[in-house]
Amino acid sequence: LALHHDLLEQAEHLAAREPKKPKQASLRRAVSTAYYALFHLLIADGARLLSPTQPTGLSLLIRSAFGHVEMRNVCKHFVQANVAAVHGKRSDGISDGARALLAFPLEPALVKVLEAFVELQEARHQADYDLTKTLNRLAAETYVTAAREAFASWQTIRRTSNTAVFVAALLLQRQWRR
Amino acid sequence: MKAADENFGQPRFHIHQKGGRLIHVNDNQVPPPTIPQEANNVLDISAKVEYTGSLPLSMIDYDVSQTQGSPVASIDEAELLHDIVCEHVRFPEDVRRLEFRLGEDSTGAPAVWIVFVAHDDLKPSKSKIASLQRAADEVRSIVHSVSDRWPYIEIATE
Repeated sequence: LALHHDLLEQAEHLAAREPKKPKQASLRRAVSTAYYALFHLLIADGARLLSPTQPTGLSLLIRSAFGHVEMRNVCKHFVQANVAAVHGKRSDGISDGARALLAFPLEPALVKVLEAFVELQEARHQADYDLTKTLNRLAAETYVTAAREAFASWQTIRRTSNTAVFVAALLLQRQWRR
Repeated sequence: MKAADENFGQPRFHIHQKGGRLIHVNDNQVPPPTIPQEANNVLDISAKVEYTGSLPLSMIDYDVSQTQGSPVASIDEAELLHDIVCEHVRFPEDVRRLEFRLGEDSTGAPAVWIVFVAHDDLKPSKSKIASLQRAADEVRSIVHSVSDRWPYIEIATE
């Protein structure tokens, strides 16, 4: 299995460990791993869509060019553009060129992936760094389920035109907006 | 201590006859949230609120009972969002209450955390998680349509 599938399985395992008294370490790592599962799914598919098959190492090199913060910004901008479009408005954040290639409203499954990515990245940040909060099993399982559902949603839209623009934006949006 | 010092960083909301006005005390360069003119619900917030100030660095509390001698009432942005969300979303019975927290997320962007407080559950069923996610999706959709704060759903247990 690919890394992202293994990570998702590991997140599920961690969230369900210690049935009677879950350790914070297990729940925190479950949330963090759920985020990384989705992150690796997107960059694996992103690199696949954006790189030729030869040379074989090029795809891995392209994967390493994706950045967490920029990906989160792209997800936010796409969601905000979608909300604005639904209300007959226009939001900043997406370049004119990319906007012209997108068909609004975006597919609900794509929006689900975008929302899940933003939510999980913030949850990962809290799980890894905010020790003032205590994670509970219900929250951890809900985050892991969100990642699993994002995987399922992604499968339904990974070959659409909007997704192709989104994936390219994950890597290039900053340059497009110059 | 003057009210201005006491509330440093906190936007002020003054009720006038036909609307409100936020007055900023400092400027931390965070863009103000804009509320769509045509929110996808009955409540037209933009007719009631005009943002002219910047966002605070932490939680926003529009309680401004001592500001500069104006005829004052207060409005809490979190309370406003709470009311809108509760009006439009049907929550599963597992959610005992909601908490709204305003602030900035880990990237420094304006955010609102909507906390679903539920009973502790060490073995939540799939249907329970599904119903929580359905409610979370609805909350996100509503908040996106009325606020520029990014909504994050948290689940707390007690």
